[in-house]
Amino acid sequence: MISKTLMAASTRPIILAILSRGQDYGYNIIQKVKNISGGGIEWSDGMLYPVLQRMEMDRLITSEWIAVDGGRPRHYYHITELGRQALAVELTSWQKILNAMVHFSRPLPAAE
Amino acid sequence: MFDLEKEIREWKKGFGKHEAFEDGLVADMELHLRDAFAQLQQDGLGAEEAFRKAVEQIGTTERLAAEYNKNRELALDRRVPWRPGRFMPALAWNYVKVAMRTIRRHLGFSAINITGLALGMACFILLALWIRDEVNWDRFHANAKNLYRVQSGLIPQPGAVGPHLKANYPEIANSVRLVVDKPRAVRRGDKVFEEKSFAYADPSLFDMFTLPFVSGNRHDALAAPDSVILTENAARKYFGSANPINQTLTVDNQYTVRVTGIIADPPLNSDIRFEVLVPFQFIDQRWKSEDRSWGAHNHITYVQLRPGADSRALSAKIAPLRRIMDQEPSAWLLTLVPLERIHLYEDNAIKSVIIFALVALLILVIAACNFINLATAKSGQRAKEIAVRKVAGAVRTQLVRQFLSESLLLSLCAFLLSLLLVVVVLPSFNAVTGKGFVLKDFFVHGFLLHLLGTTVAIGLVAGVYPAILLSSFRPAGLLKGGNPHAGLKPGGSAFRQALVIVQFAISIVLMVSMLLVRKQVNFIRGYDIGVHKENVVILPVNRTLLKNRQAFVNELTSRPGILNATFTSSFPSDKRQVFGVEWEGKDSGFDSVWQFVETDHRYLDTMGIKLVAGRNFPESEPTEAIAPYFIINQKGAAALGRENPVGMKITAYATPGTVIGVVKDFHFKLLQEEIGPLFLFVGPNNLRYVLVKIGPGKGRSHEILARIREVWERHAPGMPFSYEFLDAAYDQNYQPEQKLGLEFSCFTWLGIFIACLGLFGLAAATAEQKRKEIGIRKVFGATQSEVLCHVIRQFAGPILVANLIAWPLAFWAMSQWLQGFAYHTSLSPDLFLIAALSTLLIAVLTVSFQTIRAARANPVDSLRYE
Repeated sequence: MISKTLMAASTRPIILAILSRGQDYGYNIIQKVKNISGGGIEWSDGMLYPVLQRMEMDRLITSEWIAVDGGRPRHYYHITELGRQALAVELTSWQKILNAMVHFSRPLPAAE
Repeated sequence: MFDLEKEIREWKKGFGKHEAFEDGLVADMELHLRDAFAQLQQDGLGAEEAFRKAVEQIGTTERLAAEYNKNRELALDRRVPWRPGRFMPALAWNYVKVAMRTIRRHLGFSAINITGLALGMACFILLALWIRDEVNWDRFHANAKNLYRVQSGLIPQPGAVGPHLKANYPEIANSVRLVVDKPRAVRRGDKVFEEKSFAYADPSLFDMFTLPFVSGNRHDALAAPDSVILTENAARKYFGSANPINQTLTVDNQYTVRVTGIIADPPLNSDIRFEVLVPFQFIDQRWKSEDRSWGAHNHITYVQLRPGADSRALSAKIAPLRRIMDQEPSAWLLTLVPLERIHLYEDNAIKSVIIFALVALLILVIAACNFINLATAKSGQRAKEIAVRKVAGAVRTQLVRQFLSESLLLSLCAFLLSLLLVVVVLPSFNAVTGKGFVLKDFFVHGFLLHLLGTTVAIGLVAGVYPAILLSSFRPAGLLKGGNPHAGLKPGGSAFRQALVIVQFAISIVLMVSMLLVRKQVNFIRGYDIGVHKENVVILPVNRTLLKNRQAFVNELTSRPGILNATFTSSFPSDKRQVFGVEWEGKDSGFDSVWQFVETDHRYLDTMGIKLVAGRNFPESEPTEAIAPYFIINQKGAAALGRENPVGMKITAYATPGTVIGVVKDFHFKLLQEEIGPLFLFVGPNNLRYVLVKIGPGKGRSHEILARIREVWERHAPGMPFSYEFLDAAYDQNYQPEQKLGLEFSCFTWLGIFIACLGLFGLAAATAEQKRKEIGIRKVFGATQSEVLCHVIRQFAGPILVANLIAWPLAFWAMSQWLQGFAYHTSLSPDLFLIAALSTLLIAVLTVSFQTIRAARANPVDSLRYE
């Protein structure tokens, strides 16, 4: 089970990462996260939308309604240039944290 | 049967309760729900089960609403669709319109408001001009930063000092000596002028100081002994519109000089001023003898240091120079005074600058207080407008901005009006201050820009309090017709009273100061300086006259109405002339510098100076040698340390001699300074004036002057006859104080006037607000005078408090000022009482005018609508 704070901190980078591969809509984003983590990352579905709104306010993403032939219109989100920059910053930050964690988790070398 | 659409409609209703959900957001949710539902059904769940699970996955509306609300709060600081913009052009125009409408509707108020502020600003602008002029004294010279005046106890130095310094100290790049000599008679054709500003200088003057040439060559203009340089003003005087270059002038009927250059008139705020300039090699031998002399102190000497030279170190190095050169003990040390500090600190102009800077600031404060007072006093009348704006959605910051822009508009109007006022009074201001300001002066160094900045600052400062007060009104109470201050702290009127107190305290301080300056000026003019300065005519001496001085005096005194005449080196209050005095038994470390008067035996009688011991100079024919007799004053006797110094041998003016008399102390210098030791002697060297004592009562009668003139023309043919009265010349020395007095009066009355304008407006507002109260009082039997007293009492209180604040301030400030005078009047209580009573009287009169109108009104009119 992933802690609430870690979940909160990781939501935005993950969304940015997903959108960096191309536009997507809310339901699909959640499905992708579920699939890749094998259900390990469990978002409360509704909570995604306030986060998306907030990211839009921060100009990290933009959105538009696109009508797909025969289907329902969908609210698609795109990453902005600012979003890509933010993603790059996040990636290095997370990498540093992970590196540190991994490094200190190794057993100490035997004393000489 | 499970109906998906119905279930979704029901589910969506849950969102309606929360403001945070906009339609688009709910649509997002709905789509999500449908997707999740479809997926769950595909996974094999029943319809009802799938829907329940999908809803559960999305989460409760409360939690979602909380998240959206957080976003909403964050968005409040940003532009979001449901909030007004920071700046709305449509509203901005509306603000201007409303401001114009307010001005028009309260024309009287606005006029008072704008006039008060404009007057205050006009004072401020004039004083700012004056201060800028004083502070920039002599700073226009390109080299100003490297120029220094060399001085010791005396400002003029021996002629040798300048060249010696330049030759021996590598830090000194250049030096110049300047002498403004006694008036000379300058003749052009058959026109003779008395040139009072006749100067000598080294040619380096033009390398060191910025004195641009209009024509002629800067580098060799002073090369020939017969060259002369004129200012444009002098050129016009002597030659009119003709080209003066290479034309000739005759000086003192003897020397012919040739014009080699014309320079632009030096600015008025400079010490380097002259009209006619000749080289030291001038044909007249007078200055050649002093060119390398270490004796007489006549040359004002400036040096220009090389860039980066340490003036302090140099000053220390040259300090003992005088001692070495004079080869005698001397306490006089040479110092270098930076040119830029001379006027402000050596001539003490900084005192006036500070005084007037304070006055300017105080008047501005009075005017700003007015502005605030009048704006808040009117607030009741604008309460409804504010309420309507608030109800229509205006937020407080918008109202604050509206009122600030209104006060800015008013202050800009006042600014324009004040500029107009300044332009109108500029000539009179110039006349009073002796400055030569022109319109062009407004456009240099961003002066107008600074003023505009000040205006905006005043507009903002004056507008902030009313804006905050007005915008804090609660609309509900207002629209019901209640008290606009309902629910507010009852601070408004206390604040207004405080402002009135501030205004009047300042006015009273100014008034006390004005009265004291006047008293001091009168004190000086009426002070018995110990000589009879009335009915004495001063004539300048020239060479011809000097030769015939015995005959001239004899003939003068033989005419009716002319009592006596004496030749002298100086007259009381004239420039100081000093010399060291030596005597046996003198403490060698004690350096005594005495004033001296070189004259003849008629001096004491002519000037009415009393002998207290010994005798007058023996009557004798004028000689070319100094007589070995000295008369000293009582201070001099004290300096010699003898009860009775008559008969004592002293060496004064480098001449050994005997003290033959002691005179009562008289004021030879200005009253700013204490009387010092003085010696008189008979000699021919420095005689510059003839003092003619004429009969009393007929003082300025043309008849006597005509007689003097006739004798003059016989003994000094070709010389212009110019005269001056000693008392006038004496008064002239106190012109700065007289000017100060006059300027102070002007600005004080203006300050009081502005304060009264404010009081007038305030009284009007109070009378207006109290219409009903006054009506009710009258219905219950109050008489007009009782009503009047009631209102006046409200205003008299703050003014009395203002007195209590102002008195100690005025006392302190004016004691400081008086300390600048060795002989001064006292700060008597009557000054304070006069100031208190007159401000109170003025205030009561101002208030009464408004109140009487209110008190006389028929109560029926004011109470009809209740």
